Amino acid sequence: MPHRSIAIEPLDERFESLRLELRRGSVIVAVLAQLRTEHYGYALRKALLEIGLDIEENTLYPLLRRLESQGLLASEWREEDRRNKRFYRLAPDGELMLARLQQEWQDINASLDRIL
Amino acid sequence: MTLDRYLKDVRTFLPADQADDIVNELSENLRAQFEDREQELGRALTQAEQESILNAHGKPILVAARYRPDQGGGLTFGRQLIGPALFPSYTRVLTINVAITVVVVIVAAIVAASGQPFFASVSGVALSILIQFGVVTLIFVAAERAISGEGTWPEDVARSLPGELQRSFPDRISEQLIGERLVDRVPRRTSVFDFAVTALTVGWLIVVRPPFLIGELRSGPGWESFHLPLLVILAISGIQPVVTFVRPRLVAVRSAARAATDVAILAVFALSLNTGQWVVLTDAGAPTANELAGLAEINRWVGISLTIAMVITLAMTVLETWRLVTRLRVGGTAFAPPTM
Repeated sequence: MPHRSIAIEPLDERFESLRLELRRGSVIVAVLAQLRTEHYGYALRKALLEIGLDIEENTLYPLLRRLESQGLLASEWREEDRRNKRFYRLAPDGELMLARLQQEWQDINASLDRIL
Repeated sequence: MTLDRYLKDVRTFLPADQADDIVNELSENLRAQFEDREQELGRALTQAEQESILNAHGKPILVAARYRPDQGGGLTFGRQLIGPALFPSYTRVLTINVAITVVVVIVAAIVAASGQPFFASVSGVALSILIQFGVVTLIFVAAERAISGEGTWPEDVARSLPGELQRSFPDRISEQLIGERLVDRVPRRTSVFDFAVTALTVGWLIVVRPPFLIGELRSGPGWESFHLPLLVILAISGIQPVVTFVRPRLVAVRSAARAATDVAILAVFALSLNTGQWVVLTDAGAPTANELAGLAEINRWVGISLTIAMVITLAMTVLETWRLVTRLRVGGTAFAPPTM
């Protein structure tokens, strides 16, 4: 009986795409939480890296602008070390959003803990 | 690639209203990253180390695409042929080309009113648009493959190939589309070459002017219809290399002039294609059925050759239009910035 072969992505590639999906939402929570303290783009990336979250620049920098356009972050250009940098911080709407997302995160976490 | 060049490349693909803001911010973040690395190493970064950071940051077109509010769009037939990064440029170039076609059709209508048959049917216009769609799509699919890293030679194959061929065809197309627009001056040798080619072609057209005989055949109305217009178009186009020789920084002028010339040539070719009959029999005696069949075959092949020439000219128009559009987006002016 002839075999039918089905092209399947290698396991590592499937893991990578599922991992990215899993991280997508949590990155936003992490960024909002970290921006309770003011940071500029590169400093924020380093701060997140120090706590174990390695977010690509190409993901992080556009995300900051998107969150700002949604009113969750506020930003201002300011001089630091004789150079102009754009500093981001959590906006009032962002604080409310973070609180709700944090609650959601904890609920999901608790549910998963019961299954896993 | 320097940081300034990298940022300039990114800027090309950013939404114009946000380009300055995004580039300034990106510039500061990348400079901070450079400084961080310099502190780690205790010395200034070499050019190669800076390039390595920029390469890791991503290809300019993909970096810019992440800042676009709408990440949707794309052309998909089974698999994605043109992704969201290139799709806005693809639709823009396609729109420009269709617009040019409409202009050509309007000009044609004016010519038709003066007694010259031209684009006699709507199908002629539809065919022209279809060809444009095909050519533009193929160029962008090639560019997409280069950008996404597909279509490159396997490493061992690349090593076995001589110099230029080591880079895949999509890579080279991509460089044409994305790289050359950043050239900040027209080399004088290019202007000399452009002028020489134009002068030789004009000279040839002056020598081989209708009516002329080829054995028992002579030039027909098809040849006559494009000879004089082509001569005039090429003679006018000869002004461009003279201008860019004197003012090499007028790079956009070269793109604009070449695109305009190509469009005008396209119109003339289309006129000639519609007229047909590039060669006819000399008037000596009544033609036999065999002679008439042979004549029809010759004219058919001339028509096919002319169609191929039109497709090539169209592709060149697309390329020049692309360069012009991206150059104007980069510099906002036909003048290239002064070189430092």
